[in-house]
Amino acid sequence: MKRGDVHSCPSCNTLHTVTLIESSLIVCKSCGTYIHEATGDENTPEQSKMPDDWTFLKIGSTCELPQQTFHLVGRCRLQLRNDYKNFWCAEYGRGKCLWIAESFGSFSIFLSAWEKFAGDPAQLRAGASVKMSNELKLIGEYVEKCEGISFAGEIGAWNFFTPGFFVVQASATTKTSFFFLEPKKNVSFLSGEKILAERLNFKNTIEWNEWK
Amino acid sequence: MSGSSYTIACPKCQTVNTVRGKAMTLALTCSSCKTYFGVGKWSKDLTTFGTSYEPVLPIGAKGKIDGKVYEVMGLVVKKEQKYKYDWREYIIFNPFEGYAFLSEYNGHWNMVWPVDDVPPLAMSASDFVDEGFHFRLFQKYKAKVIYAVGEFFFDVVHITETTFNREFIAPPLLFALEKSDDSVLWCKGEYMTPSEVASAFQIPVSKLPSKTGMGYTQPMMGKIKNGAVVSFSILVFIFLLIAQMFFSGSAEEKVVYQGNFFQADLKDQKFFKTSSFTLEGGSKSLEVVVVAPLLNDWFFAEFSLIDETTGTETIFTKDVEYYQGYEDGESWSEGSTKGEAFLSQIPAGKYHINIYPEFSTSSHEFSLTVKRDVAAWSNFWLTLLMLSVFPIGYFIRRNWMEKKRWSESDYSPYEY
Amino acid sequence: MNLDDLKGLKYYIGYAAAVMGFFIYSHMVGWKWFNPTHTEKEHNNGTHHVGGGRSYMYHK
Repeated sequence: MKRGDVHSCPSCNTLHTVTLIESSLIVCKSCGTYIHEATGDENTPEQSKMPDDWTFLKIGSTCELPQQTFHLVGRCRLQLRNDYKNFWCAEYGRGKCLWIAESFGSFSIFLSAWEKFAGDPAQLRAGASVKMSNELKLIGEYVEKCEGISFAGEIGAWNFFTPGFFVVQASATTKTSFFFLEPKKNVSFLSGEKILAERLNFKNTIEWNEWK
Repeated sequence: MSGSSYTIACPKCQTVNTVRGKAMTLALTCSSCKTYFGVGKWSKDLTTFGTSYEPVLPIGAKGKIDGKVYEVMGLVVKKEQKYKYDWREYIIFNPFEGYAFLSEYNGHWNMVWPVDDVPPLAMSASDFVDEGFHFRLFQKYKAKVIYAVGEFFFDVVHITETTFNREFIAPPLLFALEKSDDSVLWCKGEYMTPSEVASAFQIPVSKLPSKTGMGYTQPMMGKIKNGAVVSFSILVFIFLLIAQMFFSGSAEEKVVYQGNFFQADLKDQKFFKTSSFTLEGGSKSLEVVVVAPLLNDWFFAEFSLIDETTGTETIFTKDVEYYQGYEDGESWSEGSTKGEAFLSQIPAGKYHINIYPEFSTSSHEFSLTVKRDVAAWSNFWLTLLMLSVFPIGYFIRRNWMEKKRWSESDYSPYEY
Repeated sequence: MNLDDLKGLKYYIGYAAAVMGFFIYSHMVGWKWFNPTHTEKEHNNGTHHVGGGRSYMYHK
């Protein structure tokens, strides 16, 4: 789905205009139905209600950096066995997309696109060294199985719609990467940086006043 | 607990539990049958505990730590698998900060929170420096959950049983490494006093377990840091030296009287009387220097410094003796022909001195010099000694307590 | 050293300030704390004595 395309919800016929240059999925703002154009490469998304949690971000929140403002347009929530990860799709610069990963007040930002991992997937273990380049080696932090996946809003380039894949996060100082491993498929990863919430300067967030 | 409509039915007794942590909660104990269970479809195990423990921080209680409000979500009691001691960990939560733990052992508390900034450490290292603090390995252990109540953001029972833990301390700080086949988690922690915990959760400190022994991250003597003691001591010593140099440099050492006295001039009198001299300024010191040309002899005198206005007498004595000889091929000498008497706090005014000498057989004369405002170095050395008491006492006590702290560890750098 | 460090040293700072204050005061008034010169004071109500009645109490 391309920026400017208008898609009608197959369930309630609500019209949705694509805001991202490349969009994988739109969740109907009226009825929650997934609007998705199959490319043949990925699984058909299974509809799953977005669980209620304590994240203070929402679709419509902004991240105001000195030179650029990012608008959160979509959310992909991964339910892992012992954790959760919210991947927030942030739109900037007329339809470009970056990902902000969030979990229990920790944030990472991913400006680069998905890449295929050329290394040995057996490297992707907790405590093991993952060679990303001659200069950069990451250390595996955890391996978690994704048991549930839910979407909201508009999702940029994304290939993982069915739970059951494994997520590995590996980091070194502020450098961090998320690896997504599906059986019998290539390993995809996102590379970015860990960042403090204060630096992301979120606006229009959920207040949760009882914690203030 | 308030404000949540998120519910989960207990798989054992079917009681519907309201879940405060909403979808973030991945394990909980049933409020009715106290069975511990995971909420995911993948988690089938049910755990019941053979013991129970009443949380001193009630589940659902809110507390403010470092300006952030946290809510107590759950409590686990863990037992170490080698030495069989147990401790309690309260899991606390804030939506903006994530979760943290308040760990209590023998009445000593630590707040521990997961960190993204992993300390610069090879996995096998036994010590490392982080932000200027030297962390040393204090313990390695495996643990088991013997009791749990409330909600958890992960399967605390399974994770506790499958992780191997290492803890590094630089009191009041600690780093904890929890490692399993699937996860490497670093947490940082800091000691909290029971009164800080009680104040945070607005409960009486008497309700918390009383402290026994020494906490492994308990700071000594409040929040004093070694570096700060050293830096401040150096600063104070430099200040003292500058002050002494200033006082020594600015001391007038003004000769207000000088005279020579001969036994022959005494005639029938028992004493000499100096001419009057004036001491200026406020209260200052006075040094009386007596020089007698002696050889293997002594000279003694009693002096009376008389304030001619008030009649106040300051009486003091001075003896001078000097001996020398040649014995066993070596020459020797003892004493001096010169002696000083120091008078403290002599007010300004007009004075003279009466001198009552005792001449020996060969000593028949002496000279007298009176100096006003003479600096005393002995005060400097005594002040230095007094100022050293605190840092020396601190480091002696620190060493003693460190040794005591590390006596609990298998990795103590001390010998016992 | 930051403010927290200084807070931790409050008793030491107080003690050092008192000792230094005492040291400076002593210098100002010419007071030697441990003076090997033993002195005695006698008050004669303004009468100017010239040593009459001296007892020779101090002797070698």
